This record gives sequence, structure tokens and C-alpha cells, in this order.
Amino acid sequence: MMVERTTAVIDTEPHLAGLLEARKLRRDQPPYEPRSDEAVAGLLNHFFADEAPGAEISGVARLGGGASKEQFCFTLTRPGRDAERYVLRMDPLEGITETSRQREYEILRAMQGVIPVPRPVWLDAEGQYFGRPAVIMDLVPGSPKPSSMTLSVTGLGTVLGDPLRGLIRPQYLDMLAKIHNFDWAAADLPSYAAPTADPKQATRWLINFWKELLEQDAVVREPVIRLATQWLEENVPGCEKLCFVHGDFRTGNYLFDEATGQVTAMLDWEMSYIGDFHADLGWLLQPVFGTRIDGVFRVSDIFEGEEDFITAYEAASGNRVDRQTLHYFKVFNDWKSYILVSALGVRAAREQHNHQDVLLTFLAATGPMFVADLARLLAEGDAP
Amino acid sequence: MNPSVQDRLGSVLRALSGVILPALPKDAGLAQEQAMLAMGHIQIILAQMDAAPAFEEEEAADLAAMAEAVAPLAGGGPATDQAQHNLRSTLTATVQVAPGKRTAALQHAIDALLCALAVDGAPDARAAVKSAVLKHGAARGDKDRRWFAAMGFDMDYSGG
Repeated sequence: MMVERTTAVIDTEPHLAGLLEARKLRRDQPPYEPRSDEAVAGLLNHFFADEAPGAEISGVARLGGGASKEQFCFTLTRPGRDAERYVLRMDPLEGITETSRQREYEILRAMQGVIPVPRPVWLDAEGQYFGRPAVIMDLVPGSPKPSSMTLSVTGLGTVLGDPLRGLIRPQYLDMLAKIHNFDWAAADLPSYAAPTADPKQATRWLINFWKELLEQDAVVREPVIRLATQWLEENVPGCEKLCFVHGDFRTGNYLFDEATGQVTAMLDWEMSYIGDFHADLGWLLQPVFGTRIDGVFRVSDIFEGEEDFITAYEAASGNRVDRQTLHYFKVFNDWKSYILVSALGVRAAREQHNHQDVLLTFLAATGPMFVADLARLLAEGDAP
Repeated sequence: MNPSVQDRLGSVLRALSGVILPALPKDAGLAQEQAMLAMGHIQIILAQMDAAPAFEEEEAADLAAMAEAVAPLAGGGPATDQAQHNLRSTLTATVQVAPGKRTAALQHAIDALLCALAVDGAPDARAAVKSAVLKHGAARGDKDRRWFAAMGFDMDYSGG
């Protein structure tokens, strides 16, 4: 007897609900083959034959860094114009995140002139030309870490040191404040949905999205993670002010000029959404994104401890930090981080659906940090 | 004499560090990054190899201790009763099972109990189970953090 399966649509942002369904169909695909420079050059030639007839592609080279997308830089020379350098970002079959190139394109376009970001130029939302969704943006000069640092996995443990800490600090605050105070309602962001049904919808959508990813990708059933899921669902805070949330704001995700300390671009907008700004604060306050040198913990290697950051953030943004809501989003971000590294990352590596399996299994070693921190936070109860 | 696993992995490490990585083009950033990560993995695997069986045994024993602690605390309606019964059965049935499989079976059974408690568990029982899981989970989490300290991410255990 055939059993008819019904698929419940996840109660989250409609665009993200579509991603959650689409990824199920990719699970059974064969191992992902990383693209060679030559293959990418061929794809670019095909794309620009339609987009910019007569243009020439050269200097295609894979970029290092990052843990989610295949990235290549290349030079485009159009008739009658100077050569221009661009970055191509393409989705692998699966990765440490599940995000949308369309949303990335939209928010980068909307943030032009607000804070420094790369200029998005072309979008292949459905992978018509590149096989997988892809976005092409300007190549921005700058580095995510000082040149003295050799290997830094996706910016974790980046030590800016002095004088960069002092030079970047006001820019870091200014960028975060401008993101959170960004007038998203007036922006052209068709693939983003505003959670305006009730004060808890924003965070309820967020929890539902990540819970579904956990359900789809979990490789073990960690008891502390189950308790965290239940606690997050049962304690959703109301959101007084819907803000634009970056989703991955931290040192390691912006570029700067090492000589001047000038930030040249804020990157990695792929996890952005409209919701509670405390989510960004709980994320960047995580120890894994900071440093501890000579006993001093620095948030993003800039702020000397949590209070230094919160005081400075409130002054820069005008937003008041609610400690109970911040506690909630600390739990959320430990939980989200565990899902990223221990569920999606490990699953993608097991399925051989990514181009950086060796990085994903390395990052999975951070999972116990999040489990241990969740056990501590949940034992504190509902309020700090 | 057959080459040991340590000798074989050690030779792979030497090939990566002495020949393959230096031969990569200077602008092959991702290939260099992945070669270094592969070297890091192998170095840590070599350091963990001898202790790995005992680590897995202890992991299974810790899960069993958590299960033994929470099983008598649970109480409530039929869903909780069923999950409680299944957890006790799993504890008994997996005593002779390989550590990795026992750990997975116990995780599933505890997970099912936590889900059942959310459905029809008595509030006091649910709170008691939560407290026990967090206590055991925190202790286990610290052991896992120490195990992966050499990866260099954990500023409490990696000497960062």
C-alpha cells in the first residue's frame, strides 16, 4: 500500500521556506565536484556572451577563506572600457549554511551608500548559467586579517592588535548601528518578508527555520540541543522594534586597509533578515569570535569585555539592550552555531556535497563548546 | 613488519608538509588552506589515536550515566511512560553493544524522552530531568572540549 506523504510548509519567511524544501531534493545527488578555474572561465564566458557581448574574461582564480561558497575572482574587459575585477560567489550543493544568493544580491544593493559593502552587479538566482545560484560583485580591496596572521579559519581568533583595534572600533560600531537602524521598510528587498503579524513572529520564524535545518541534517541526537530547542520555542521574546539583522557580524567578516585601518567592506550578508537586533549582539559576543590575550577577553578583538561593547553599542545606535532578551539570543546563537558546524557542516562533508569537506570537519570540533555553553546558559534559567 | 597506522599517517603528513604544500602555487589560496587543514587533522588524529577507544568507551558510559539518572525522574502521561520504558530497555539492551552504537542508541532514547516530557510530562518531573541532563551534559561537554583542544578554537582549553 502506498503511503501518501504530506509535507508541512515550515512557518518561516516564505523565501526561506522555499529553500528548506529545495534542499531536500539535493540530498541524494552524487558528490559535488569543485569547479576548476578553467571550468569557471567557461561558465563566465557563457554568461557574459549574453550579459555583455564582446567582453573578455581573464585571470580567473579561486579565492581562499570562507566556509560556505565557492569564490573566484576574475577580470572582465568590455569593449571600450577599462578592465574590471569581480568576485563570483556560487553555492556548492550543500554547505555550513543554507542561504539565498538572491537575498545577498538584494541587500548588497540596498546597502550601497549606507555602509561600505561590495557592489553587486549580476545575479544568476536559479543557476541557469552557473549550475548553482551565483552572484557577481565588485572585488573590493582590503584584508579580513592582518598580514602577520598566517592561517585563520574563517576569521575565528583574528587578532587585530594595536593600533588597528582603536582605528576599527568606531567604524565597527557605526556599521552595526547603521545596519540596525536601516530603514528596511523603504528599501527594495522583495525576497525578505517583514514579520509584522505579532511581536513574536520574527523570532518564531527564526527558530522554525533553524529547527528545520537541524531536523534535516542532525547526525546525532544531542540531549542538551533538544533542551535548547524546547527552551527557545517556549520562551520566544517579543520584538519591540523590527530591525535589519546582519546575521554574521563580527571581526573576520569585514575587509580593511591594513595601513590606515579604514574598513573597505562589510561582507557575508547571507544570513541577514528582519528581526530583533539582539540576535547580532548575542552572535558577536560569543567567545569563539573574540580573543583572550594575557587574560583579557576582547569582543571581536576590539572591546574589552561584554560591558565595554554594550555601552558603546547603546551610545552608537540609540538602541537599548535588554539583558533578558540578550540572554535569549545568547542561547539562540550557541544553538545556531551548533546547527551550523555539527549538523549542516558535518552532513555536507559526509555527503561529499561541498568543496571544503576538510574545513567543515575541522570546524565541527567547535560543537562541544556550544553544547557546554548551552548547558551553562540553560541552567541559569530564563533570565540572567 | 607491517607499517603501523602511525607510520603511514606520519608519512602522509611529511609528504603534505615537505613536498605538496611547497609545490602549490603562491596564489592557490584555497589549496594551501586545505593542505594545512589536512596536516592539522592528521597531527591531531595521530595525537588522539591511542586514546580514541577509551574516549569512545567513556562517552558511552557518560551517556549511560545520564540515562540512568533521568529514567527514574521522568513521569507523566502515556507518551512519557512509553519513552521512559524505551529508555530503560535501551540501557539494558545495549550493554554489550559497541560504544559508538550504544552512545547513538542512548542519545535517541533520551531525545525521545525529552520530546515526550514536553507533550505530557509532569512539570516537576520535566524540570528534574532537565536539570539532570544539563548537569551531565555540561560535564560531558567539558570532556569533549578537552578532546578537541588541539584544534585551537577553544580559548579555555587551547591555551589561547
